[in-house]
Amino acid sequence: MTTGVRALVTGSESGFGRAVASALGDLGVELVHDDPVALVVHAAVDPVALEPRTLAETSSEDWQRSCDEVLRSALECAQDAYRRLHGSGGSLVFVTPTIGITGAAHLVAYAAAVEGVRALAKSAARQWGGARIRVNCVAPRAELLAPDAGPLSPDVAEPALAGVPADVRAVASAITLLAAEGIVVTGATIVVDGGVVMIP
Amino acid sequence: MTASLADRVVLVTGAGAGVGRGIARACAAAGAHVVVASPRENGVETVDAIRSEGGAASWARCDVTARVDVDDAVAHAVTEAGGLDVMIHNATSRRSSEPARLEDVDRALWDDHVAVSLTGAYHCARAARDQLRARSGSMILMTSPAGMEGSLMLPAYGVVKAALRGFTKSLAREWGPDGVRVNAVSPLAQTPAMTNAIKKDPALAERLARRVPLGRIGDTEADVATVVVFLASDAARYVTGQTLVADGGRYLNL
Repeated sequence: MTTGVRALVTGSESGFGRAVASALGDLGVELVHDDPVALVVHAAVDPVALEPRTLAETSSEDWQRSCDEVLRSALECAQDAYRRLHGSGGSLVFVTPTIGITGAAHLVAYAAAVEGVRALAKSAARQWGGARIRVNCVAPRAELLAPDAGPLSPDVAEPALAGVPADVRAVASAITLLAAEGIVVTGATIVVDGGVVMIP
Repeated sequence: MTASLADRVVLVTGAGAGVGRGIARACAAAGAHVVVASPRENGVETVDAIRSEGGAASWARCDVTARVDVDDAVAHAVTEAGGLDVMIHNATSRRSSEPARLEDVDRALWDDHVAVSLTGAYHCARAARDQLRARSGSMILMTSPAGMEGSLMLPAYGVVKAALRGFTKSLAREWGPDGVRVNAVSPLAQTPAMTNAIKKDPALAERLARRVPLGRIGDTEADVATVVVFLASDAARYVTGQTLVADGGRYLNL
């Protein structure tokens, strides 16, 4: 369905970004660094930004790293993606963990930034629809982004798809779905956590 | 009838005009001592308006992007009124209603939105925490439909207003065990910014009203601030982490 689609993945040199890039490659996506591209995925993650701490223990430097920098990196990715995609159209996907939707204690700065990124995607979708750029979010559990950080997500429900792994392959599958021809979806968030969080 | 805030102390950021002034006046009318926090002297006009109606208020010069200003404003509440029960973060960038294309948003516009809304929220929460814990208080943050459905005209504004909802939900989880509530309010109100926009584009009022089931744009004090007073009061003591939408039914997608 998306075999041979040329994609640029941010953060693909290490960690979560590399895992996403690799899983997309397994699905037949062609990973490139130069134009033309039809798909841009913002998968860069700063694991330090996801280190849990109470707000009272959050220094100004911590706050900037976990909130301001996360937002700025999303803005820079979006603006870069616009330059690459506005002539021919395409798909831009942000990875936005579900802690934005649910909120998470001890991750106030990061969860705030994630909700900011989801709104960035919606505004971009509204502004760039005329240029045939679709902008969406894929939301896995935060633990997938920073496997060494320990538990991050609040305990809200059991996964509906118990026993089905909600891993990085699920993220890649959703991204390819959103990159497919003829999918009239923009400004949306697809939750890929096996049915823990269900959006109202 | 409005809920009672008798003997409560409320701090409102960005209370020199608009929705912030409406909230400050409504809280004072409900019996609270209001600390009117604003970076400019128009905070004094809000205080004068409250006092002329028999309410209690004082002005704290406060730029929410400066941590020391926010700390001082909370210290002012403690000195002037004996403590702080409710922290209301309403201030937004002065460039909030400046239309922009996302691809053209520059660092200055972006950083100003982030600094006032988000760094400001961080400063307010940190500064108020000990008081709110000691007094089983609450924090209220002003958000916007732009944060929930995106915005065609104001992408940076939409981003920070959405981030405030992530902030609200997360801090509600973190502070719930301490008995401190954190909520957001999404208003649609006749603000100075809205009045200006309608002056420039008279058809805007009709377009907006068409999308509002109740058929009109809200009054800052009678329609929006009363909802803030409710959330601040004991009547809402089992409500936390929520976004209360006071917009005549314009946004119904939650």
